[in-house]
Order: sequence, then C-alpha cells, then structure tokens
Amino acid sequence: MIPELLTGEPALVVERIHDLPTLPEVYQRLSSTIDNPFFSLWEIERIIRQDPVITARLLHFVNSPLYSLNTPVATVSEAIRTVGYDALKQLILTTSVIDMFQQEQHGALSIHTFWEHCLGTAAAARQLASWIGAECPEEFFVAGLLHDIGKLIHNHYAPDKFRTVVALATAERLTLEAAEQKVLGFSHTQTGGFLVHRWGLSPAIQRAVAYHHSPSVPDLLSPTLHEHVVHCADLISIGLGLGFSGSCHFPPFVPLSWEVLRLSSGHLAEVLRATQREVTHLMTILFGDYAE
Amino acid sequence: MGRVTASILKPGMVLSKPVFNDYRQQLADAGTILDTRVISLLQTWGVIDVEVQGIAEPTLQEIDMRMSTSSTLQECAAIIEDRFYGADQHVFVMELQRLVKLSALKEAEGEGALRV
Repeated sequence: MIPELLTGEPALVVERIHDLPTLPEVYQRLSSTIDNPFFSLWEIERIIRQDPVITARLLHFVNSPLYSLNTPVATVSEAIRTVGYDALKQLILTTSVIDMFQQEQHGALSIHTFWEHCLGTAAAARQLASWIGAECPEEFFVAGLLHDIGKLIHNHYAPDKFRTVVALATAERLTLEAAEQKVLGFSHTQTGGFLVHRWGLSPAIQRAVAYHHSPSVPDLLSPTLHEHVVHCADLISIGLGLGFSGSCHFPPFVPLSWEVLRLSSGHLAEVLRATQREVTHLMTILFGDYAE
Repeated sequence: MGRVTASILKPGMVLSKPVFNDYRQQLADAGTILDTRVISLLQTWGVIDVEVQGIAEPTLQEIDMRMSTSSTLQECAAIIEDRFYGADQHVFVMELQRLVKLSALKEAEGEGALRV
C-alpha cells in the first residue's frame, strides 16, 4: 500500500473508485497458477485454450518478427515454451488492459496514440532493464505499459474535467500532470498508482506508476529501480514521437535516474533502435495496420 | 578521435583505445585496424561503443547545421524540437534529442534509421 495515494482532497475519481475495472479472470488464474511452484505446462495451456482471443493473439505474437522463428509455431504449448511464462503473463495483461478501455473512443485522448505512447514506454523500459542487468525485464514492461493508466481513468470517470485538462495543457503548453493539478487537484500518477494497487500488482509496479514523474532516492527499504527506469523510458517514448501522452511540455527530468541506470550514449542508441522496432511489431499485433 | 557505436563500425577504422569485455578481458588493443573478424568479435561480446581514430559522432550543433540546409530537414527538426519543448538541459535529454535528430538526418540521407 502506498499511503500517499489516498491523501489529499477527496476527488471525483477516488469517490467512484469502487467502479474501477478489475483484471480479467484469465490473467488472475494464470498469475496464481504460475506463482505456485508446482504448476505444470499443461495447466497453463488449459487456461489459455479456454480463451480463443488470447490463444489467437499468443500465436500471432510468437509468430511475429519479434521472435524471428524459422518454423511457424502452431500449438499453444509450443508457443508457451517459446515465449516463457513471464512474457506470457505480460502479453495477457497487455491485451486485457487494452481491451478493457477499447470503447473509450470519444474522450479527450486518442486511444490509439495513447497506447502507442504506453507501448513505447513499456518497450523502452524493458530494453533499459535488460541493459542494466535487472531481474525480470518483463515486469519493467508492465510498469511502462501501465504508467499512464490513471489518464484513462480520468478520461472515463471525469470526461468533462479531463477534456478541460487536455485543453489547458494544449493552450498553455503544460505537462498533463501540471494541468491535472490545476483542474483536478491531483494527477494521473496518484489515480494510476491506486488502480494498480487495487489490481494487486507488485509493489515495484505500484511505485513505478505512482512515481514515474518523481522517482525517489534509492534506499534499501523500497524498490525504486522500476520508477527510475520508467521515468527515463517515458521520456524516450516522447522523444521518439511514439504516440501522444497528452503533454504539451517535455516532462521535467530527474537527473538521479540517469545516475542510477549508468548507461552510455551507445546504450541509449541501442535502446532507441530496439524500442522503435518493438513498438512497430506490437502495434501491428494489437491494433492491426500500423502507419509508421 | 571519438566514441562511436559498435553497430556502425567498418573495416579499416582504427581503435584509439583498447576494448574490454565485461570480465575486463582485452578484446582488442589500441591501434588495431578493424576487419570483419574483429568487428564480429566486438559485436559477439556485446560491445556497445568504442573509441576510433579520426571519427567522432556529430554534436547536436553540427546536426542542427546540417538540418538547416533544406526546408524538409528544417521541418523535420522543428517537429523534433516541438517534442522537446521546455526540456531540461541535462546530458540524458540532450543526448536523446541528438540521437533522434541524427537518426532523422541519416534517414533523410538514405542510410536508414529511426523514423521521425
């Protein structure tokens, strides 16, 4: 639990928080099965097979250029063995969350460009995590994917106010966070942090969502690496022009994050190349045609 | 002398500093003239960037200068600068902007790079 998320002025969004979407059953079953040290591939396969949409996406994903396989994968069990359990969880969470908000076509945000920005942040976060040798890069992908989820909640639960937020950010060239503070009195980082806490995602992901604009000083008591990685990944996605986050001002950079990551210019160049390549493939898998 | 990414190394370039892997084992000495075997060795070990003689990555100012030579490139530079509106002058942000602009420039010059 992150206590700061619940402090401050009572807000429209938080008052209606009991309506917030929940993660689909398939993800929850898969997650609890994988967390059991005695699970079998057969159990995982059975869960996946019960959902034809997820089965199709898994096969599409594993046969995409992301995996560059010589022979096409035709069975679910082979697909699971190829991608691995962590990537499987990440894929199901990604498709579930995107589907959850698919109907949000008339709000202040373009859903397509919003997810492009989030997938860019997710891909960059995973790349950065790999280069610094962090454990479980897939968890960084999820943190990047969900870092701006609070914006979708504002868009859904407070559409008029959020339209005002986006208009203010555009008119005065503000970061979306600054405009949210002026109009709502709180920001998407707080709402998003609250949501991923409700979903029971890891404390590291909760912190990354809640503090991706203000990562804190590393200490031994709290996992802070994810928030530094997602902070840098967010700026990389914006710099590459991947989608649109709603901000009309480049977010302030916290220099500590770059000191924590300790990467060179060469690493950064590699991260940019790989991020762009991955986003192209992911957008094609998840949204069909992707205009570069 | 300048630092260049390993992915753009070409035979004939000369290393100005020795290159080590993550285990501090020397892969190539200063003065080594690169050939396909050495380049492949460096890439196999995941070397990201090396110092080579006579070649330096262009600075942001040099890239800006080159992008001011045509209206298409000027338009492209303006789009990128708009993304970085109000950005801090930190080395990470500056390097990010330099790499994005360099990539756009290379793409325009037909070398194939990131899209803008």
